[in-house]
Amino acid sequence: MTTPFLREPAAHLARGPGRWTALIAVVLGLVFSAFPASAQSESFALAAPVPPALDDAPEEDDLRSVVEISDEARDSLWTALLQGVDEGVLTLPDSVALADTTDENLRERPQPLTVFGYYRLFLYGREMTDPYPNLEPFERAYGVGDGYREPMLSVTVLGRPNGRSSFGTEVFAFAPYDGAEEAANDLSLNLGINFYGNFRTEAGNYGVRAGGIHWYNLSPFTIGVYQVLDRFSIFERTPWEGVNGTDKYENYFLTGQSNPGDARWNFQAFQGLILDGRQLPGGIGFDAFWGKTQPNGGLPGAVSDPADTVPNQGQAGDTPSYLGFGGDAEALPSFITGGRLQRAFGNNLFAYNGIYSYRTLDSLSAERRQYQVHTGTFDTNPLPGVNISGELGASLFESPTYTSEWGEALMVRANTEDALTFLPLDVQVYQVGRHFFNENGEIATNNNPQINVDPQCEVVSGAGSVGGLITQVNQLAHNRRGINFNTAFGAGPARLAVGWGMAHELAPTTNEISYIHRINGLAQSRIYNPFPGEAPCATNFGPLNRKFSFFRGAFERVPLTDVEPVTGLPTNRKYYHAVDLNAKFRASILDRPAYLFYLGSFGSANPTATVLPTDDDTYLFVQYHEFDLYYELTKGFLLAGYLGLENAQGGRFTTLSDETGLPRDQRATGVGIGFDWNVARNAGLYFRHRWMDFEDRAFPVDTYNGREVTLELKVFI
Amino acid sequence: MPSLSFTPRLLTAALALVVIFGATGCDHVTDPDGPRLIDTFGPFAIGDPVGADRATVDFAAGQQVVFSGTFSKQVDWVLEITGLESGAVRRIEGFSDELNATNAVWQGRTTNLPFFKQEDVEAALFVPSENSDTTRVTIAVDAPRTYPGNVFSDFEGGEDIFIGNFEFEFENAGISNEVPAGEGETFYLMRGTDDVVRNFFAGLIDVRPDNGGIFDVPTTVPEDLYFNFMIRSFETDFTIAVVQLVVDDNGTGAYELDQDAIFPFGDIEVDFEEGWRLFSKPVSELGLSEEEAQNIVGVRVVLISDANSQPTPALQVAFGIDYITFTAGSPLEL
Amino acid sequence: MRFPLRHALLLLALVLPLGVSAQGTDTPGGEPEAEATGPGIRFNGLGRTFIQQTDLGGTLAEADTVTSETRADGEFLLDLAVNAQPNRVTEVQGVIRLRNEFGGFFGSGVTVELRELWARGIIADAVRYRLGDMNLALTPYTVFLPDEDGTVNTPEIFQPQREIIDYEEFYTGRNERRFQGGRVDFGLNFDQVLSAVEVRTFLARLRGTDFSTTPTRLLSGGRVGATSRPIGPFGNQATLGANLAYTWDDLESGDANSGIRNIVYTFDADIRLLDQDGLALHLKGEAGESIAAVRERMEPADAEPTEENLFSDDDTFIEAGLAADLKGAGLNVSAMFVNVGPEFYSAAAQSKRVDYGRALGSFARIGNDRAARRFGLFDLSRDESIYTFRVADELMPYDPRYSNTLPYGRATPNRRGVRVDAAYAPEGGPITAGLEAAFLREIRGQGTEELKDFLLVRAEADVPIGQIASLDRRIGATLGLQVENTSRGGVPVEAVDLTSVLFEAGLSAEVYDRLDVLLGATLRQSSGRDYVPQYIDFNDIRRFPAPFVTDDQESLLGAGIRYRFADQVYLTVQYQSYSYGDDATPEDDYRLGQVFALYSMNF
Repeated sequence: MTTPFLREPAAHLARGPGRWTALIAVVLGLVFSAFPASAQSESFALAAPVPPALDDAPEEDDLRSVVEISDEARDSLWTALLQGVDEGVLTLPDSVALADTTDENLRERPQPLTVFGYYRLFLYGREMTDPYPNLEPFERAYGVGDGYREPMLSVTVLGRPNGRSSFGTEVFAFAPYDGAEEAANDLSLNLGINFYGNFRTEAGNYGVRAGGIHWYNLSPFTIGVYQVLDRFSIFERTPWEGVNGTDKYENYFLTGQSNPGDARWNFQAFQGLILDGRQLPGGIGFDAFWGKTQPNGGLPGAVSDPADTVPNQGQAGDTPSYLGFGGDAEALPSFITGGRLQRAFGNNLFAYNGIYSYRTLDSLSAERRQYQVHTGTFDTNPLPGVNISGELGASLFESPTYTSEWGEALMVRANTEDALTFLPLDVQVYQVGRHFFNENGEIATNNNPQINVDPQCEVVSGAGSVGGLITQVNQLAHNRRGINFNTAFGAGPARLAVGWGMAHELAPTTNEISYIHRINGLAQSRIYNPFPGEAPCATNFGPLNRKFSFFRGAFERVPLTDVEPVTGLPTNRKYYHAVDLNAKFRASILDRPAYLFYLGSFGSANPTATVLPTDDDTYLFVQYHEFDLYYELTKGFLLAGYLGLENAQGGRFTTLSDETGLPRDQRATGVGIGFDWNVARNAGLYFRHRWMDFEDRAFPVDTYNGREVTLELKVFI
Repeated sequence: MPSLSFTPRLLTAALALVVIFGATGCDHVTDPDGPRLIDTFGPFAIGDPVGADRATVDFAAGQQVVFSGTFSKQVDWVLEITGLESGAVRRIEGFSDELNATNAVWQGRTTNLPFFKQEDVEAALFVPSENSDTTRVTIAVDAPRTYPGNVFSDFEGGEDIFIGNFEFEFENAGISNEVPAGEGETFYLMRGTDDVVRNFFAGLIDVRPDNGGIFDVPTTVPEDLYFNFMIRSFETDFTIAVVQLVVDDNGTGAYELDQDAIFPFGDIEVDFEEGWRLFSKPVSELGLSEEEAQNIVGVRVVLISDANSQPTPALQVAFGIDYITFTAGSPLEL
Repeated sequence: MRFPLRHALLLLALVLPLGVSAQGTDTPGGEPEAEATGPGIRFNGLGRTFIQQTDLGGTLAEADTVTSETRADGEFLLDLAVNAQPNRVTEVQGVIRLRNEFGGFFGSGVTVELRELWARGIIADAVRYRLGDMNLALTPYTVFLPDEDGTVNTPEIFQPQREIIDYEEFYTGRNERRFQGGRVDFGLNFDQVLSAVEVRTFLARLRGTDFSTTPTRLLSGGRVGATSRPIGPFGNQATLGANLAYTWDDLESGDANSGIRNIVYTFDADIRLLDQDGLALHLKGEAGESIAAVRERMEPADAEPTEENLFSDDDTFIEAGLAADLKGAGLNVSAMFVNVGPEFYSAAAQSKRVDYGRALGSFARIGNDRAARRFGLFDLSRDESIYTFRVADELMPYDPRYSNTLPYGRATPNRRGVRVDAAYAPEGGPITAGLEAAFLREIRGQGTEELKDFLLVRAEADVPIGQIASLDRRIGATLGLQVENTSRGGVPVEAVDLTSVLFEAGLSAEVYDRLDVLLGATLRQSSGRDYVPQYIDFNDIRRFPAPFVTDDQESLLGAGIRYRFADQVYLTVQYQSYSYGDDATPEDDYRLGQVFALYSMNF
């Protein structure tokens, strides 16, 4: 490469204008003519510089050479050169700018990082011996990952440049091990990049959260998620679970929470800027934010047709492709903003919460689909052992095609300790108007067809229900007034919790209801993948197209027939009933811990009020029974067993089968076995095998059975 | 002390440096860079209209015409000289603000056939980019330009032509002035309809040199000896012209029908825009050796009707041929 | 994705063991604390959250029925620099870029790529080398990045967006260009006559071949400098240097048969005539020549390949003058005679930062006729997509409203005259100021015998009000002014008279501990007429499009707050309002309003 560099200038000089050869001669001559003749006769001595060990070098410049202390050393150009190079300090003419890298300033202060993460190999296989139609050829499928976007290698990097600021991110790596080497691998970010800042002043302490995804919770009715404990089986592991042996089951026994400290639980994903202040004068605190939650997200130009993104959409749950979801960076504005103002009076807290979410629909007229929610929350302890909390608010939805009235959302909840009332009591009363709408809160607000979240979809992606949902106790939905009651008692190794709820619709708004397939729902969603996220519509499956998958679950849609014949509008209000049971037993067998958990849930929608869920004169009656059994066979090795039963019984006002003339009569069974094996500290191997069976005796075509096997190796690093 | 003598020495060096730098750094190109602004953006006006330095010209005697004219700025101008009888066109173009002996000289050449002849011509000067007015001047051509080469036949009469109208399909063929000739006053019109015997063949002519023997070519080197002729299209469909050189193959020094060697120029589909075109090839491309190049005894011209494409009844086909000439070293230069 | 993925994984592999080695493994559930900065490995980087919304308004927008009036975008970005020093004389650094588009959830809009990778060290305790990504500048006539357009002394409120541009384009503030290649430096010390000799050579690849018509483009060169020892009662000292920048296409790579060659060699001198009594007097200069040629490579079947010039230009330049340093007064003054030949071409010194040929990144076309929007202060201050560090192979387009006297920096060809610089920065004195004036004339007319005259005055001042008023707050004002006039005589068609005035004022006031209020304004007004040529063959004028006639003005006003968590960590929220108007076409006047939040973390 350097040959031409050496050859060409010389060659040019040789043939170039004579003035230049003369110039060179004169310039070189001047150097020497400028000095005493005596100097020219003396020999030049080479002072060899000795660079120091980098460890000894000053922080700001580890590559600087320092010559031994001597007169020559002080003037050493070697020193000057390297110093000049690294600092841009010139020992040469001003016209000469010696250069080096921009990263010098980055390297001035090494940044200590906290790096940790985990490796999670999740092997998945299924064999549907009696599949739904059209699953072919995917009845039997196996691979790495279950179709959900979960990291195989998650590397969390945290840094704190100074006491006031910090950052964190999670590098996501996934390799399907499909023999395609690097081509099929995915290196990305799991959630995003988070930046934090905080500062303390005499006027309060302030914090900044920027970037995202931040897991954020403002209040249950504004930005929050429906959260209940003791309501879900823990036989199936979540991808974000730790390696904690029997602790998981012990925690569940004690608290109902299987994975304490899981930030994702009860929080919404948020991107943008959050500013909070606490301990302001007068004990005031605030939150203010501007950014996006998932309903405001999405990149323009991104692929939005599930058929283009999920292979075999609606047929099989192959690992979805995330290609095409990049989209353009510039978008029409779609933001959510709001905040919270709170003040504590002793151990009583009062707060105002507000959000305003808008999405620009038209790039020219700037038409918006927008809604706002304003609530007041309180959490008081009027008497020892008595806690009264609640949230009272309202929302307004506006779009170019429909503007709702203000819709109220009122909820008060009282808790008493057993010392006061023998048994701990938890009573919740609420009323949520049909006009109340919020995509980011814990209240299910898809019961008002006039508020169409996305015109292109019957059911939007990620939705967990449609119409009137058969809710669990304490699960709120709009257009309802109701009461929930919970109590529990424990005696030694046994704990029992009972929940009861009843609600009625404030107005007949919907001609359909829905219910969750709790048994085998996760396995079904792994076959009929509900994502990836840019797909706007939920994945619809099943021979009668009445089942929809959502994140780690599936629900079924039930059209109602007691509607006004001409308009098709509903004519009757519905009453919703729920009873949830939870029994937990802990024993020691052969000095090893054993756990037996039972979850029972009954729900119904009826035209009239009843004390308990019933299948008499009903729209729909569902019941679920789940038994989890765990036993530590040897130290670090636990056996796991599972039995799940589900029954959904349709009523006379639901669609009838053309074949049998009967409404739904569904039976679902899930039987699982497996083990947890702590193969080393922070390393666990988890095996699960599930037989699943489903039949609808009224709709014989709606039948499947098969099995699913998963093997998970999780190693924290 | 050395230091005392140092400063003046350094100053001298510095001054020398400045002088040398100055002397070497100040010699640059100074002529304007890029197109002249006044030409691009200045107003346009015709100064002197087009003029000619003579009213009559004898190109055969080597005379030439120098045109004149001026503009307010440099422009792309066009000088178009048109023969009022022949319709011949000579187009001279340039970019300047003046027409003079360096850029507007006419030596009798033509840009588009036919050749100019003894006739009046009109020279029109205009500037397309400025939609300018056109100024004109008329000149009388006393004698057209004499082109180099040995003319085999210009069909001005007196040629020894054998007409092969075997199937009686020629229609008003022969020497003609029905349209302006490619050169001179007349050309040979080949015209007929292949409907008597539908066999592609509509008729032919064999042209012999004036002396009836071997044609005297300007060079005998096949690669340097160019065979040129003009073909006129009448835009009749399905018309193919076949032009062949006849070489004495039996040593008689004359052309005997069907006894001498034929070297075809190559089929010429005469479906181009109506008018004359020049065709040229070195005879070496026709396959003539040096010996054969010295024994050219005739030129055969055949009118072919493309029977494969012709409808029924067949349509008339026609073309004209003129000024068959041989040049040395290069094709006939218009 | 393959290339960055491979490197990113490599660097992640560097990271992981540290996480493992340092973590406390007693924590069940596996969320141990890990200390990643083990011996030899250091981490640095930059993080950024940037969210903005821009609105189009004004007369044009009111009649515009086809342009989207509001756009929003943003990004969350983390550049993680992994710096490894396996031994005392070797260093390797890679920068992994993790980026998430604002609005992209759970993996959508995420990119992970390698931003930078280099190695450097010292060989035999004497030779310093660097391989990979590097920044480099030699002299303003050889390898140099000219200053930016549209600003003199950027108000602090506009600095954050400019910092993003500088960072993304690897602008260092030292007029360096970004290259990928290798560099070797070494120096020799002498104890007699000469103090030292320093040598630098480098080779960089500017462009790879497509193995078809585009050959590999390389830049090589270097510098040899000699500094005498200070001698005599006046501290006389001479520094002489020879510099070379050689840009060429390797016609043996790929099937390309033509390419360019640009040789620039210069000699510079700095002769200290006097250095005593608080006064230093220098005689400075640089002179050299450029040769620019288009080469053709012929590969005859039956002979050795040969290359020849299809086209070649050469020209010279000189810059020489006196510089005085009045140390006591904190005043530096220099006056330089400048003579840069019209055919002087130096690819690595004349390529601009802004590529005026590119489409704007935001609202590139506006109005019902979808006309391309002119570059404005709004774009120059925030649009990184119009900036480049690339080396062009002919003079790039320029906008005379922002820079007409020296659009290609000090190496701007076809200029002769005097340039005067003054810098005032008294030791301990609060106010710093600078002045640059250039009185230049063309050497060769453009489309006419007439020559353009240029007058350029640039002045700037920083006024630390807080210090002057003895306030315990960081309060400072900045001022910048650029006045430019270009004139030429001749007939009306040739006549040129273009005047542009750019004014900048900024105020940063710390109203509470680390909390600053920022205000700033940049105003520009231009009127008159000029011709902006289109170039071909390096620097020959191909044609003149329509005369550049303008009578326009634009203003960029900003107000915002900033909280400084640390010196290089801050959050700022700003609103900026930009308006553009042209007296000739008032119906096309428009406004752009921009609100943004930026949390920048340099660690």
